[in-house]
Amino acid sequence: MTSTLIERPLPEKRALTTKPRPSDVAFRSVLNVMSYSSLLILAAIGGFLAFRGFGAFKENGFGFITHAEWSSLVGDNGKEISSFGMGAMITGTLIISTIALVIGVPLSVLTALFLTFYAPERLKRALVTVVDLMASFPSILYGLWGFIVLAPMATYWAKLVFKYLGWIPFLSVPSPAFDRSPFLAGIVLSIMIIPIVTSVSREIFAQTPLERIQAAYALGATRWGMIRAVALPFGASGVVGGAMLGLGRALGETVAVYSVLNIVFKINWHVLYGFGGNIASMIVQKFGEASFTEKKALLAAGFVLFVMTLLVNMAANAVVQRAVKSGK
Amino acid sequence: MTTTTVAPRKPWKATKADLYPVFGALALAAILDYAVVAVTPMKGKLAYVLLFFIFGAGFQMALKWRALGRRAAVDSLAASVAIAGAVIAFTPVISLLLTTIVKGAKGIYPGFFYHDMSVANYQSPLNQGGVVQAIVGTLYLIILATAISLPLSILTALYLTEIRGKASGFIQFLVQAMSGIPSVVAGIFIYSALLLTTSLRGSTIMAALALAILMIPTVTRTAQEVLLLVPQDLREAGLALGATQWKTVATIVVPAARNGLITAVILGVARIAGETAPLLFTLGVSNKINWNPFSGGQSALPYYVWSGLGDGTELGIDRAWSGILVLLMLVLTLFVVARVFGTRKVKIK
Amino acid sequence: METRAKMSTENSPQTNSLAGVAAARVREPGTAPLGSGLEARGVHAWFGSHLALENVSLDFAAGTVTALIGPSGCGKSTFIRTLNRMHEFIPSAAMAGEVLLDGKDIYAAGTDVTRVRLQIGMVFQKPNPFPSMTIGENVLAGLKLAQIKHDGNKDDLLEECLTRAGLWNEVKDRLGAHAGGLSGGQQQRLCIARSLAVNPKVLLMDEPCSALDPGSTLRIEDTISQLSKTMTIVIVTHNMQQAARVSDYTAFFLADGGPGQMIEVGPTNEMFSRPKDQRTENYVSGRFG
Repeated sequence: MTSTLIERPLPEKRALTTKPRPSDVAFRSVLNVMSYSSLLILAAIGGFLAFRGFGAFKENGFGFITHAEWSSLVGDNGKEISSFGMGAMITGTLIISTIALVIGVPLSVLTALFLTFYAPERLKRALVTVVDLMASFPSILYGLWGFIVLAPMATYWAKLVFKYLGWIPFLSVPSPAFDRSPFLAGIVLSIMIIPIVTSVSREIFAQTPLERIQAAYALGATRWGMIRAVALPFGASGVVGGAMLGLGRALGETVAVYSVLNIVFKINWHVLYGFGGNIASMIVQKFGEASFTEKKALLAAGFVLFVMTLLVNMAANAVVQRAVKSGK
Repeated sequence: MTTTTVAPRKPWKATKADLYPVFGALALAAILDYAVVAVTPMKGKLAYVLLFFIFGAGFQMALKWRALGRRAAVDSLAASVAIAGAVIAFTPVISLLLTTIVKGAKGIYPGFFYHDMSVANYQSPLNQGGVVQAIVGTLYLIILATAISLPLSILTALYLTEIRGKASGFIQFLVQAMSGIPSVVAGIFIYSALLLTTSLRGSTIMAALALAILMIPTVTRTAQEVLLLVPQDLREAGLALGATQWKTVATIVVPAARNGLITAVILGVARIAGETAPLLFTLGVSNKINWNPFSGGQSALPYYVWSGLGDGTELGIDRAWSGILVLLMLVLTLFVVARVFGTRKVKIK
Repeated sequence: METRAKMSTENSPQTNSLAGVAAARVREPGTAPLGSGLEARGVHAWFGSHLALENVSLDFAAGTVTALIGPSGCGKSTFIRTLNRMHEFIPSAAMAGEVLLDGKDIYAAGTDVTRVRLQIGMVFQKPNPFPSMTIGENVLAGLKLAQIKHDGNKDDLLEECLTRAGLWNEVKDRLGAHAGGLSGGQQQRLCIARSLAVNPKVLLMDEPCSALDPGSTLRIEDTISQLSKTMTIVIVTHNMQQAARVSDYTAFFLADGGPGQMIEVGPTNEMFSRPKDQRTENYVSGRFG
């Protein structure tokens, strides 16, 4: 018996179009254009700073990044002799930011673990509000508080650290001047990044899959055993992203660092020793009395800072997005 | 079906009897703490805190080890470390708030809020001069920065949620990148673009432009989150009635998200109200109110604090504390208002 | 098909104690000590003020497989979670009654709940291997978490557990691979192997096959039959055919507009052929549920 089914090919898919109304055309165009404003702003910032600062790059060459000396003198003939180098600024930025991460990230992770897995519900909600509150404090408040309240304590701790650990090279000091050191600036910065690192870490820990947590407990794990086996592996990449966001914040911090640190244009590896700087605070310090050429060099330094923070923040956001999405 | 007269229990919850040893151990740790500090050369707050932690955690571990074994002791140590970490992380907040209130209150007198600094300088006694120019300046900056950034932010957020064009991922990425711009960079950008080679001088509008750059990412991100919360059904209802997308968004979506959008703006304002660095390059200087936003310097609360700190004298620093107290009050108020708006439900008429 | 334990055909009086019947069961020589089984006495469970489970008493004799059946929402999952103290993870949870393992109440004050869970293991509805660990590490995860020193060779234990779970042949060459690459059925057998590594006396299974295809389901049922020789198994299932295939005893739960209750319990073939309660009869004949 022959089959009576006829083989028919599937019909072609139809195009779905509409003739939009003029108001909608206008609406969509406006939104389209406006949304590119962020691109425009970013490009403008990078563009202007690079453009204005170009002279400094040209004259100092690659040494602009590496040389530690920053000087602008008026020579005998009244002309300006200048040699600008960001070396001290950049190393200072990295040193202070590293201290901030070393102190701030472990505290933030512990706090996030406490809030997610140990704290009772009401306490947790109150403390989360406090964390958000901390994030909104102005940086000049940290600067003032750091200068008046924290500085004496930091000096005391620095002396203790020096007493017991001063044999480690970067913890020694050429002379006992412990005030206004990178150590103090690092501590202030670490407090400033705690809100953001804690928030990101907490959000990722809160997403730990319940089924895995239950699997660990059903195997007879203690709370710490569960955290080690399930929560930490799950949250690790998110925490790294949060730490990178904290780093981005620390790199660009201006007034808090300026208030507590003795700004000097020299590379200083001795973190307990009382001077240092970072790019942002040095721009602020020099800007007021800078000559035209020097101002352009400062703008070039600002361009370098802009690129640094942009790259760190882009990488951080990518890491956090991936951690949240993959839900490892 | 029988009505039960059995009472519910939670046998896993720690009873009072379980907690007595814990508190006893902590008390013992405190006593031992004081004793050790008195006897040994260790001194100071650090010694007290560190020893208390060591003894307290140690005793807890010992208790758990005796009752349930080694694993429970390790678990107890982990809990002690986590609690210690959280306590250390939250202590600065308390200190910040208390110090500001205590030190700032010294310089507050009624005239503080309506005198300006043209009649006094930073070394004058604290019952002279005031911050009215700084308050007005900050308000000016907030209004101008909001006026500049609000349209851009809301429209960008609408693009991301309503149109979701092909560039959405890219725009989203850019907005997040923008949120990482250091405030000093925003300041020197405006300076280099508008002030360096022109005859324009620092003024309120210049500073507002710099602050707007910092405000846009915050407002855009929050607005986007809020718009995404509006249920898709509402949009479909509007479109099914034959309305254009523009009408749907304007008359249905945006009003539904109204409270959240207000929250977004307030959060953006809180972000920039305390910014100091951009002002240093763009605001110019003034010690009294300048009603013209387009020319002439201006003061602002963060700048007032900055000047006091830079002055370095005791009176100058006292003024700085008073200024920061006012600023903190402003930021906290904004924060609370944002919370209230954020949790209010929109009434459906 | 595995032969079921030979049951007495006499109609024993309707009591909830089945210990005497279990004694008739033939035991294989050289099996691990079973203890005296698990017993629930007057268990009630609350979520906040809502009573979800009322007065359940069941005696799980050592070495038996008991199926808990009933329509959804009747409290069987809640009940099984009271047996290994997982119910208390819900913040508003409360309970009453006792659960005795080898005669000792696991809810007694001063009990180490982590030790209880080592002796009463659980397999969940959705397979949940630890993705950050390899297959081998997953199986031994329980040992690491409990910090149990294993006297013998770890590799031998690994092979033994995977064999008992019916997974050894499929993964023996890739013990270092990540667990996420296995199929659903393989993952569930991995979870079973993981539970076995800590040598529990009782294994609780909360709808272990409901997320799996029929082929995997049958293989796991074979595994359950093998395992029941050395441990007590309690399995929640909404699949009556599975209960009939796998269990020695069946308990029927129902929540008739109120809290969940255990309506009837008995040897499986009796429950399905000559149930004593009309409601049980209605359920097993498919009139509802």
